[in-house]
Amino acid sequence: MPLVEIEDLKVSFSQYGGQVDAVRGVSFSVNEGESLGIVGESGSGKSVSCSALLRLLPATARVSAKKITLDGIDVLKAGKEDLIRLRGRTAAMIFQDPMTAFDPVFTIGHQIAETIRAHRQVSQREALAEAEQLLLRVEIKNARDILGYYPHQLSGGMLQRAMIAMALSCRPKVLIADEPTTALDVTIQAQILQLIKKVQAEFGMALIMITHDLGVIAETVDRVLVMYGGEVMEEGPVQQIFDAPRHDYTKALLASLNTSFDPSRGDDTAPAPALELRGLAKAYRIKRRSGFFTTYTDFHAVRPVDIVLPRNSIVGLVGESGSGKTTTGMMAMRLTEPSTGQILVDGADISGLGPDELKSFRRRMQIVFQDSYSALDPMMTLSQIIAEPLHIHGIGSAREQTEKALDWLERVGLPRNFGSRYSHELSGGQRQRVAIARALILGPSVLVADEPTSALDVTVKAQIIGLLKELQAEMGLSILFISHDLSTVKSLTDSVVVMYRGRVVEQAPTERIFSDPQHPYTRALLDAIPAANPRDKRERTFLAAGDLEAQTPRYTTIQTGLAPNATPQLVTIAPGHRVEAVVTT
Amino acid sequence: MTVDSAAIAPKYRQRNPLWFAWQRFIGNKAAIAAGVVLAILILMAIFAPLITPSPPEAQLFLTEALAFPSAQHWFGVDDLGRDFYTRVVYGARVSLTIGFTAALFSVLIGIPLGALAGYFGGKTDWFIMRVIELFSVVPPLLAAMLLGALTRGGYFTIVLIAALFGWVQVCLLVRAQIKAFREKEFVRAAQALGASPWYIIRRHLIPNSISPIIVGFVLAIPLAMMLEASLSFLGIGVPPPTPTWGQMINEGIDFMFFYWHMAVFPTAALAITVLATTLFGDGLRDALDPTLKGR
Repeated sequence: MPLVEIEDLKVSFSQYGGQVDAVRGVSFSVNEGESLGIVGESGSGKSVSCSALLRLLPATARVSAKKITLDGIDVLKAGKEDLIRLRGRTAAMIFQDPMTAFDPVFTIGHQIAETIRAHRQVSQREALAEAEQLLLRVEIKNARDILGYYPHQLSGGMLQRAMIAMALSCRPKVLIADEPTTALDVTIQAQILQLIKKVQAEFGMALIMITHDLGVIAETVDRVLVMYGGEVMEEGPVQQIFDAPRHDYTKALLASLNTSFDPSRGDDTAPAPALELRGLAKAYRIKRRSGFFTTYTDFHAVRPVDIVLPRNSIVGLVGESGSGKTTTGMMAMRLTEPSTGQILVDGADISGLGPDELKSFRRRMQIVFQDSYSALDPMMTLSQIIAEPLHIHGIGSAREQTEKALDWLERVGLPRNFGSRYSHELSGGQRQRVAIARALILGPSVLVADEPTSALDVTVKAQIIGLLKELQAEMGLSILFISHDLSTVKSLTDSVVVMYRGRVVEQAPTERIFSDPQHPYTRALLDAIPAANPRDKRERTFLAAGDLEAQTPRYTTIQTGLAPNATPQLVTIAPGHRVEAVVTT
Repeated sequence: MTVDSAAIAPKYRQRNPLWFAWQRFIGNKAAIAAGVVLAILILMAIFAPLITPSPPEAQLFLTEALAFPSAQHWFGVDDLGRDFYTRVVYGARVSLTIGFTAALFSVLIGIPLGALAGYFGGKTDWFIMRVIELFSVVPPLLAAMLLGALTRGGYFTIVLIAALFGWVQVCLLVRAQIKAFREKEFVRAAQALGASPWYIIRRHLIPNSISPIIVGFVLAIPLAMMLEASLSFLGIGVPPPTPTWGQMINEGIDFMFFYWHMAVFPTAALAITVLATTLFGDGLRDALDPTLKGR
C-alpha cells in the first residue's frame, strides 16, 4: 500500500464572498522510500496540496477529496491525537525560508529538543543529546556549539541544515520539502540538495520535493508531477519528463531552462567604455563597545575592484550573497557612496559630483531592482510610475509624459489600459516589466540590473530575460547584470566577473569562463549549477573556505611578468581573462 | 464595482487617480453617512442664528429654568434660563472650529517634522526626537494653564495649545511610516533618477503615509475639544457666557442626577461629531490608499 495516497483532491478558498479554486482534482501517490517531485509555477497549487495532506491549511480553505490517506490514516477524518502523530512522526516538512521557520528567541538546540519531546517521553538532557546527534547527521561539524546558538547567528545554509535535523528528529516516513533551496545561493543549494538525498537514503524516507526549479527536480527525484493552475498536467519518471515531455506546458518549462541568445554586437569604435569602475571600494565602520571603550574596525564590503562595461554589451557580475556584488552595483549608480575609487561614465568621472551635476548623468544610467514588489510605489498608477523619470527631469508636458509612458507600457509587453492600474494588481513578472519600462524611458546607455529575475518563476524569468535582451539589442544598451543564477548568466552575458568576499577573483569572456575556469571559487560555482537533465546529475565534492585559499592558482614571474608577491593579485593569463593568483618566483 | 467595470471596459479611457479614489469613497456607505452628518453639523454651526429661536446668551426663560425637554424647548432650558438647544447649536461653532483648526495645525507641524526626522535620520532625527520628548514630559494641562494664565486664555490660546501638543502624535506616526518606506526600492529608484529628497518626500513618502496622517488628524480633533472643555472648566478657556460643548458638559455634570438633559445633549453632540469624523477619516483613508480592499 502506498504511503501517501491522494485521490481527486479539491481545495478552494473563500474570499470576499467569492471562491478561488486552488486545487482542482489532483491525484497522486508516494510509495515508501520513493522521491516525488512536484513542479509548477507559483499559484499552481503545489504547496496547497501538500499542506492539505498535513491539514495545515487555514480555516478559510475548503478541502474535499475522494481519498486522502497518510500511512493508512484518513487525514480528513483524523482526530487531534492522530494529527499530532501524522505531523512530525509520519510526515515532516522543510520550508522555503529557514530564517522565518525558526523562532528567533529560542536556541536551535532548544527548538529541536522541544520537537523531540513533543512526540516522545524523554528528558531534556536526552533530547539535547539526540539533537546533537541529528546535527552531526546533517553535516554540521561543531554541533555542540550550534545547539546553544540563536537562529540569527547562523547563515541561511546552516539554518536549513538545522531545519532538516529538526524534521528528522521524529524519524518521519515522508519528508516534504517545500522549495527548500529557493532562498539560498547556488553553492549552498547544491550542498543542501545533496544532503537531502543523503539523509533520505540513510533514514529510508519517502521524499516529496516541491519546487519551481527543474534543475532541482533533475537532481533529486525519481518521479515528477507537473502542475499548472491547480491541475496535474503530466506525471511520469523524471527521465521521461525531461526527454519526452508530452504536455505543452512541460515543454515550455523545459524550453525556458535552455534559452540562449545571440551575443550582443559590441562597439569597438567608441572612445571610452560605457561604464568603468576604477579601484572602487567600500568599507563600513563597525563600532564595538567593550566597557567604556569603543573601538572602530573597518569591514571591507568591497575591496578595490576594476570593472569595465564596454558599450552595447552585457557583463555579468556573479557571486554568492555577501560577496559585494550588489554593493558594487549600488556604488556604480552612486546610490551608495564609495569609500575610494572612480566611476567613469563615457569617460567622465562622476564619483565626486554633487547632486545637481549628477542629475544629468542620471539620465544615462539606470537600475532595475530585484524585488519588483517594493520597487513600485503602491500609491501611484502604472502610467505615473513609468512617467516619473520624465517628470523628474521635466521632459514634455503632462499629457506627453503620460502618452510616452503608455507607449512604453506597450513596448514592455503590457496592454495600454494597464496605465491606470496600481502595482498590487499585477503579477511579479508584470511588475518587473513596469520597472524595466521606468528604467529605460529616458533612453539610458547603462543599465544596472540587480538580480532582476531571482524572485520570479522559471517561465516568467525566461520572458523577462528575453525582454531585456531584446531591448538591449534595440537600444544598444550596456547592461551590468548582477546575478547568482549562473545558467541565466551563461545564456545572456558577453563576459563575466566573479566576485568572492568583496574581491574580483576572475573575469573573462563568458564562453571562456564556462569552459576553462581558473579560480577554485569559479569552479565551485560552476560545479554547483543544477543539472539540466537527470542524466547529468553527479556526486559533488564541496570546498571549504580554507580549501579555496589553498587552491588559489600560482603563476611564476616568467609567466606573468610581475614581481613575486605572497598576497594574491589579479593576473592576466589570456586576452580578457584575468584571475586572482599568487605570483611566485 | 463601478471601478471594476470601467477598468475592464473595452473602450479604453485614461482615468485620473482621483476619479478612482472618489469611486472607492462613494462605495463606502458608512463614510458617506458620516460625511453627511459632518456637513449637517457644519451647516448648523454656520447658520445657527437662522435655526434657533433665541440668542444663545439671552436669559429669556428664567422662570422655566432647568425645565426638561418639551415641544417649545427641544433640549430643555438650562439653570440660567437659556434655551439649551440654542446653546448646543452655538456651541458647535466654537467646538468645531477649535477641533478642526487644532487638528489642522497639528498635521501642518507634524508632517514636515516627521518627514524630516524619518527621511534624514541622524542628527535631524535626534534633535526632533528630543523636542518631542520635551513636549511629552510636560503635562498638557499644566502647560495650558501656564500659557492661559499668561495670555488670559481665550480662543487662540486654546488652538495654539492644542496644536502644540497634538503634533507630537502625528509627527511620531509619520516618522515611523517614512522610516519604513525610505528603504523601499522605489525610493532608491527615484534617487537613481536624480530626484531631490524634497521631491521624494512630497511625491512618494507623504502619499504613502496618508493613513497615519488621517489617523493622527482624527485623533487630534477630540483631544482638542476635550482640552477646550477642561480649560473652560478651569476658567481659562473660552470665557462664559459664550457657549462651548466642553463648558456645557462640565456644567451639566453638576446637575446630571436630577436634570439629565444638561449633560446628555452636549455629550451626545460631541460623541456624534467625533464618531462622524472617525468614520469619515476611515473612508478617506481607504479611498486614498489604492492597495486597501483591492478596488
